[in-house]
Amino acid sequence: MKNEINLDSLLKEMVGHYQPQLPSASLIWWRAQIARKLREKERIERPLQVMRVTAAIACAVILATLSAHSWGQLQALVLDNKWLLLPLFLLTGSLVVALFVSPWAKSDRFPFRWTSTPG
Amino acid sequence: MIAFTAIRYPTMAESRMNEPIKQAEFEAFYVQTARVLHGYLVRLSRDSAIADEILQEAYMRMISAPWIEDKGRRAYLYQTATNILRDRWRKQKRERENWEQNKPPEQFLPDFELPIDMASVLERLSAQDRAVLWLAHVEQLSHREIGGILRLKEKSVKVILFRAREKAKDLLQAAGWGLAHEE
Repeated sequence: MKNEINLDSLLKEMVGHYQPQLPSASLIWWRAQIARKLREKERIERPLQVMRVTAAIACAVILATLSAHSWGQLQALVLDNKWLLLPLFLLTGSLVVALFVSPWAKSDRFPFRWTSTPG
Repeated sequence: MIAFTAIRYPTMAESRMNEPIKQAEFEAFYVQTARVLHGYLVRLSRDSAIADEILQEAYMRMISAPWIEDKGRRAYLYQTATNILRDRWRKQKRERENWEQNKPPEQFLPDFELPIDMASVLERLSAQDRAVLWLAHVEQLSHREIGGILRLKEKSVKVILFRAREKAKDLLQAAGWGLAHEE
């Protein structure tokens, strides 16, 4: 039994000597509050994001159906008026940016920030 | 006929169940527990930077969790911290090597202000043995509570603790530490 008591006191002595540099309790509290607010923000924004993605998918499906339906007419229109290619190209480009880049830009992994610092 | 029904008022613990912890309560609990929890994490991870990160993460999770009674809060904290560390090891595919096997440390912590004998003894044990010894001797938790924290059966805790004690005693004796034998 004495072995156990010695091991016990040795461990407690070791802990007694341990004085680490710890972050303050208020700092951890503050970080937890920020994390909670971010979680709440994400929770609130989730339905909006779902709606946004649904709308984008619906638009893409409608556009594809319409294009497939009148593909011949569209081809003839573009071939007859080649200047139409430029706005069509710009429109497609903007759609791609809106669909893929903007959700990524909002995430933390996006490398560039446009927020200005005061002063 | 009038039927009387006994009104049961919720207890303090029940009424606070969905409320998060208050700041003053948290700060008092932090002051009381952080130093020892940090020691546990440094012993387990063998890395004070990782211990710092996990300590903060565990307390942050505790703040976000529903209110827990003081008795269960400490066990919750140790369980959360241990799980975070084991998840990290799992991601690095090093859980088995770190947790169950007795892998010697890559480097000994030079800035550790501890009596060298016990610190070096712990360094030679597996993470599971270190955790069990710490929780049983430093935190004075029961086998059931240790089992809850380390995801082990109560009986397994008993066996692991016995073996860990034996290993620690052998190492202490080998290091020339004067353990009294009365048995």
